[in-house]
Amino acid sequence: MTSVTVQGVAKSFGGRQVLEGIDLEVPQGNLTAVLGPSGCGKTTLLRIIAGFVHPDAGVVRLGGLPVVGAGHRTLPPQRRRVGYVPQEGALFPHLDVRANITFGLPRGLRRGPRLADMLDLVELPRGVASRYPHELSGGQQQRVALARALAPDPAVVLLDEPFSSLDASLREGTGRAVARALHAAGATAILVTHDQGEALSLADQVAVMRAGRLAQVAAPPELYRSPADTEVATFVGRAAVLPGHVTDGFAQCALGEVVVGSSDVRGDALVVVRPEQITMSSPRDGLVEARVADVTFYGHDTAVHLEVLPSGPAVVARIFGVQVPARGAVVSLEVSGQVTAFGLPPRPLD
Amino acid sequence: MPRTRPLLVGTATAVALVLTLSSCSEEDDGPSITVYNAQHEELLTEIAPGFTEETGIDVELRHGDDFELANQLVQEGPDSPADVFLTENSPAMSLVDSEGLFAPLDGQTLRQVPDQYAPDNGHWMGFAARSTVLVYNTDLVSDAELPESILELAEPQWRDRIAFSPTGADFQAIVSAVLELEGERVTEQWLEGLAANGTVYDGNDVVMESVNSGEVDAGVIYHYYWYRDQQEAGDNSSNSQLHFFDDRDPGAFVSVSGAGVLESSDTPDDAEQFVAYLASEAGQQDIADSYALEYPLNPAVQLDDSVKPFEELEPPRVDLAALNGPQVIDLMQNAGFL
Amino acid sequence: MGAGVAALALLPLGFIAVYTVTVGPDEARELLLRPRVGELLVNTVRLVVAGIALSVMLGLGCAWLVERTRVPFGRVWHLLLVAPLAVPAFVNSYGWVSLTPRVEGFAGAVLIVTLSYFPLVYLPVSASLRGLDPALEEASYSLDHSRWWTFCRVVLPQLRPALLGGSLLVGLHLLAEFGALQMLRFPTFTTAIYDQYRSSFNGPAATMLASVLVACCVLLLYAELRLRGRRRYARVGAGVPRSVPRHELGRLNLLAVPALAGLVALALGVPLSSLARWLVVGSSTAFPMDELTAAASTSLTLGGAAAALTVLLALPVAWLAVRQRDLVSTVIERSTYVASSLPGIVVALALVTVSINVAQPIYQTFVLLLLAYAIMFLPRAVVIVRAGLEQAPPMLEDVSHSLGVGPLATARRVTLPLLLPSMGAGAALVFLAVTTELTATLLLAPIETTTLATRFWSHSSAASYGAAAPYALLMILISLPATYLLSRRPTEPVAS
Repeated sequence: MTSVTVQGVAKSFGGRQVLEGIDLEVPQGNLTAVLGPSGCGKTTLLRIIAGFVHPDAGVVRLGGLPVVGAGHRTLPPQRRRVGYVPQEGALFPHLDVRANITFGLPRGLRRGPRLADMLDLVELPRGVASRYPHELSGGQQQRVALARALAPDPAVVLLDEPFSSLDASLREGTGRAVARALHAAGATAILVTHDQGEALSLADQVAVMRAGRLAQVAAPPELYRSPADTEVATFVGRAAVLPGHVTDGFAQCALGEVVVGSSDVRGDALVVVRPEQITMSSPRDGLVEARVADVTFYGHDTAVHLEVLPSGPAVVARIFGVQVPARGAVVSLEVSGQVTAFGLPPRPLD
Repeated sequence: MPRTRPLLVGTATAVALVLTLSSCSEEDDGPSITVYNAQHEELLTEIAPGFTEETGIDVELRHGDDFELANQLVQEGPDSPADVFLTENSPAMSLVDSEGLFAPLDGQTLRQVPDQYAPDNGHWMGFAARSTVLVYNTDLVSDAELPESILELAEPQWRDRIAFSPTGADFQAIVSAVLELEGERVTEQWLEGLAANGTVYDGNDVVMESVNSGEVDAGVIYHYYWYRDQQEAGDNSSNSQLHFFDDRDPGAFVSVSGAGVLESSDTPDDAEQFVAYLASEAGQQDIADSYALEYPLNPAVQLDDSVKPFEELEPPRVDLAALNGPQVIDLMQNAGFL
Repeated sequence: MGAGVAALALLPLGFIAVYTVTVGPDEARELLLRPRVGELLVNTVRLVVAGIALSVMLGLGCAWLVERTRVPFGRVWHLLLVAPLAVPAFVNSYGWVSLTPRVEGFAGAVLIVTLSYFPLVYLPVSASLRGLDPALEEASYSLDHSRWWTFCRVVLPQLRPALLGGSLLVGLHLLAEFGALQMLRFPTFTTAIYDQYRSSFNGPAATMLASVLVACCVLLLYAELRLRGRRRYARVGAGVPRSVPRHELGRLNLLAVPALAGLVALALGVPLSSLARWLVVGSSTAFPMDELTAAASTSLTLGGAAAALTVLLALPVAWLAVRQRDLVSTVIERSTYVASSLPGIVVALALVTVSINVAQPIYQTFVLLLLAYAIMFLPRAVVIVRAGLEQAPPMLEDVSHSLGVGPLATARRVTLPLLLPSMGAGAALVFLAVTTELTATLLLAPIETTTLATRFWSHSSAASYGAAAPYALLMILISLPATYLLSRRPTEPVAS
């Protein structure tokens, strides 16, 4: 298996810039998620790596060898040893599962043990081999698509929103199974998704893409803890972004005084507070008060929508357990742990 | 891919068959001529074997309509593969002649039929003829009502009672005859009257059927449609009779089927032989004996006696080369027939 | 390659253009600005409009009954509703005219050409109905919308490409129809062009009149393009949608079954019984086995070869239209339709002129004849292959490449098998047209070639209807396999 390196890749379609200066390094055996809203260019990036689309500029290296750019002859997709799992699987409808999975194998190997190995790898019963795609559930189709991509032992596996068409209940199970199969195969993989939960839970590394650029590339915990800017912060997990003023590691904001994590920020700033950092207690002097506007109970936790009194911003607190405040109640708020602050450019004096 | 195979096999077979077919047709090495034939196919397939037997020259026939083949010859011009052109009616011959595509026929060939059945320049000749007739429904038209002249059909007593087929070359030949014999003013008035009185149908057979079914009282057709239907099943002629115009009336017009040798022919002598054979006693007898029921033009040969004899017809004298000139088309267009 | 096909298809148009110039503006004006031309234009337009409207009503109604209800013997009805394609329009109108002269004129012409051509709408619409995702309809019902509302607002828009494609084919056929209309005594532009050729020394003028047909055709093509819109209709997903629930007709069966039976009787019963009658009563009836077999095998061969060639030529055109979707490929695709709206005589004479001047070795050979068929019947193949290609997402080829399979092998292992059903259907539709084609066959075939259509023509134009009948019957018989191929349901998975 092989690493993937993308350097300075740019692409535009009909005058519209879709990708701009993309740099991405995916180490060998790593599962990297490219996370972004639809239309941000992430699928184009994947198709450039696969070789279906030619970039306007930049270099793509697979295992250190350039496959496009850097003055080298462009390697066509069929020579890149890249497995591709498109949206909704795109199984060949005229072929059964066996023929789909063994499609990329040399003729001599199509009857060998590879089929059974692949079915085991993606956790499908061997009986499905003789079924046709339309006889499979969406989740099964997706696993067959992965098995098909893995069967020729590709250097890299690319997955384009592979779970977006599945029911929420199937999505997680299929996602985990696919991730397990990829790890078991030791594959280097890139997963494109707009679902931050999927990205954070499945990937070793997440690349956040926005309007054709990568905003941040980091491991999931780091991404969550230290987002590169407020947009990443709100895109990856929920967050309240509050204006504040920072002095000596403390920020003054609508939620009172909060601790700012390692930061050189001073003066006017935006403060990012995660819902689970907000704790509630019965009203106490000296603390910020808020009214409970709405309560959403999820079972394992509860989201409490709060309006900071007297007319402050709306924030969300996430609490665990079954002790849930009533709608309309007034509570005191505290912020636990460190928050991230982003400095604002100095306001012009007027 | 079990489904792929039948299609591929089918395609391969088809291609192979086409190749076989095309190679078959080029095997003959004896002398042969190519005839563009707009006369009825059955008629020629009866005549051609007799010619081949007599001369050893093979006849290859391409069938089509008068106007299709005439226009094709015009488009082909000097590169035409045809040696001989045969038509049902003479205007198509005039069209090809007007483009200078015919070679003059030999005097001996021409002499086999009376002069009036060939144009003065001798570029082609008639070899069979059909007479214009009025077909009428015997329940709807009494003998006393039958017109003496085709010109009467434009008069008020025939309002909504007659049918004709003006788009064919046949009817235009009749208009030509009226124009030639009666002049432009009469023709114009006559066409106006016909337009007011008549129903326009497409094709002689359709006119005959409508008369027979009583949809209209009478119609203008060629004689052989009615006689042939009598021989076939009589379905479309059982309630009707024919009325022949006489006394050189324009309605007694006789249209001829023409034959000519093309200037572009590589074997003009063989082609001339074929045209000569068509008009010869042997060829004309074949025509007379066929189902066609068209009149042979060689005076030595007669149709069987169920059909009104040719000598009893009294057709008007019309220059064949003048038929369907631009003036006829203009008149018919102005009357709204074309 | 697509451009080459388009250039070939546009040869007749060039022929018309040259003659329009030859005729000159004054004479052209005089010929075109006559009251008769106005009448013909009105006739042509109302025939096309009414014919399309009636074909859509019949095609849509039947497709819904057969595909979405539990009408008894659905499969049998499906076959019978495609079968009218095997009966040439002129045989159909002959049957009607000999049954009753009342079918002459506008109403009769619309009725009979519709009975001949409505399967061109029925086929694509029934295929679309079958492939429709039922979830959309269910969503609409769940919003408390009535069946009728759902049909109009949810189902109908999804059927739009099928309806438009079918209507376009019907419209083109009506523009070029000659034999049937001549028999029904309903003059249109095409019959007038034949008349002009027959009646005057002025062939160029007749050719020029065809420019009016070209204009009508361009209008139709433009209208279809506008109505079709820019949406894509390919299903991207691999999942074949769940099978569609069918409506229970209950007592409505008492209406539906007689309605279908009546339609089949009108479209098939009338022409077939008239042929049968001629076989029995005609004195000229004969079964010359040698001639019948020879003509039938030539028709089969020509039909098969022309079908294969036409589908091959349609492939690059359809490919461009589906995968490129820019102005050039649209123009290329649209230009292949023009020739099919022209009378056969114009196309045939154009090919006479072009080939005798620049390609004499192929003049009056099978090569030229097959090219002529391809030019005339390309739209039949393009429409169907294009629809098939739209159902084959390019993603599948990308996936194949990524699995290490090169372009050629991908074409063989993925694209071709996916396209085969629609290629087969397109070939079948071309085959049906070729077996009944007359004018180009007469002018362009190698000498002494006889097909079933030329034999039928030569016997029937000699009023020997009894002798003509066996050829018509054989024409219908050899068309049955093609009809069966068309009636197969292309969305059914290949081998399951």
